[in-house]
Amino acid sequence: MKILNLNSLRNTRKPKPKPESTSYGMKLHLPETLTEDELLRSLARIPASAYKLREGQGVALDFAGRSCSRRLILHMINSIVWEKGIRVIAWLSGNEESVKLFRAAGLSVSEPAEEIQNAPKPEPKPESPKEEKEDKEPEQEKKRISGLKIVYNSMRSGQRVETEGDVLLWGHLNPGAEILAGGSIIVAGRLLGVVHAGGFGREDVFVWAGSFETPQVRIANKLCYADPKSTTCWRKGVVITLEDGTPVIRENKFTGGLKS
Amino acid sequence: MAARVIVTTSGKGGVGKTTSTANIAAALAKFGKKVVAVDADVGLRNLDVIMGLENRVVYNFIDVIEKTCKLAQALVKDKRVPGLYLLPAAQTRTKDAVNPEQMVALCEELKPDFDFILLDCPAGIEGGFKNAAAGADEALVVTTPEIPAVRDADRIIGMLESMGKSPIRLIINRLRPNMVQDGDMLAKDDILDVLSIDLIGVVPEDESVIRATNNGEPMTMTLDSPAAHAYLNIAERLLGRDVPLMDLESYATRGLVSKIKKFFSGKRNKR
Repeated sequence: MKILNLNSLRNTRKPKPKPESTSYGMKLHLPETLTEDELLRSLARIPASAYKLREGQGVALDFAGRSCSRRLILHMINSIVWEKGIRVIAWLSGNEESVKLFRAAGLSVSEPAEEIQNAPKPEPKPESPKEEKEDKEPEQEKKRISGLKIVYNSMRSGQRVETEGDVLLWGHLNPGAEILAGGSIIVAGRLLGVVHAGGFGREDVFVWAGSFETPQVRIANKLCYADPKSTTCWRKGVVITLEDGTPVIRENKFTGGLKS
Repeated sequence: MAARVIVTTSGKGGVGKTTSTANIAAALAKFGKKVVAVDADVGLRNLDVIMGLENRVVYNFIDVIEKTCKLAQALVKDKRVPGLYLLPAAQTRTKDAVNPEQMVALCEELKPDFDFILLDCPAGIEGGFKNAAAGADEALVVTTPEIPAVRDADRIIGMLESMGKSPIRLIINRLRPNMVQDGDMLAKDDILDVLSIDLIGVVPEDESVIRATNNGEPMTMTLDSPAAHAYLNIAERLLGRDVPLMDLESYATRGLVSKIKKFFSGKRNKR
């Protein structure tokens, strides 16, 4: 009978770069124990499609305590970053020498939490002829609808929904419940919990609530507080949007053509 | 006989889970049912004190689970009310001493001999709650008319729903009708609006609860207080009887009248 020592097997297995999903896109942890060549080979094996992220998002490369040589940095840029079309938004390291080298090369060395807020918006696409535009709009609409998540029950304290698309909650959002959506959020009932629309940076989103009763709403990178005493829309139907970067709350006076 | 297993829970501590368990158990026993109140709060047992049976506790349900004793040896019979039993918790152990499977097995062992098994659940949403809830089919969620208690109750209801417990019914405890009338306390409807479950009873704030707790005599044994009546009504509703909710507004008015009387007679509380 052949007995395998699992520990010895584990020791021979090389660690791999480990991706971590973040609010700004992806953080790629690069193992310190690999030699520079092993690291480059390991990164080269990852397909370019693995680095594809949404618009405005990017990858932070975390070298941990590795002392990076100029050769490694050059090869990283040449054969990995440019070759695979990765949008690197940060070069992170706990090693002072490495940080100095990154800075000297003009690379961003800080954790990109702030960067994403001020990330340049994607350049507007050139206006296409009217006929083409009309063809494309339904396609875009389809994309958004496919990302819709519908919750048919009220959400209780401690319950949380997180999705990259839009959310329709067909019930109340109780205190202590949370919705984080990349798109817009509709709460058909009472909005008492926390909602974060455009949670991954999108600003063209809205929050619609049947009854607005929450002290805090988050849209894109904006946090808004509502005081029940001074908010005129308190306990009324509202729609909240971002206009020129400022959250605007409007009472929903639309009655669907019915006389009240 | 196959018992109904009901867990009394709340999430937040200090809202009256143990008091409710003791009083409902005593009330059900008064109605001729055979009831066992199980203290599932391992390490912080109190049910024995509230039921006035602490002097008679020898074994506990951890001993039963670990087969140190037989189930019958651990059960404490209340001599004041026929059909009322207590299965105490261990005070010197922690909540890790039992797991959900063991709790289910314990309830299965108790079921043939009783009509009702009431599980007094510890506060919190961790292991202690999960153990207690595992054995139960139904749940009574106790809350006080305070925002933190209601929020915790909401959390617990969500967890109970995900565990498939049904029905889950609500007890609003320590309601002060005067404060509700003044708009200083959440009203019954405010709480129901958030929690969206069936209400099984409203227990008014009552000084006799403190007296009864300290005397180790469940109030439903004597029935001389509004809270006792409220618990008795809850027990009746558990038995499927149609009992209207108490008119708490009359208590509020009574309280106001007595305050005015005290004011004019100079018997005001000095603070």
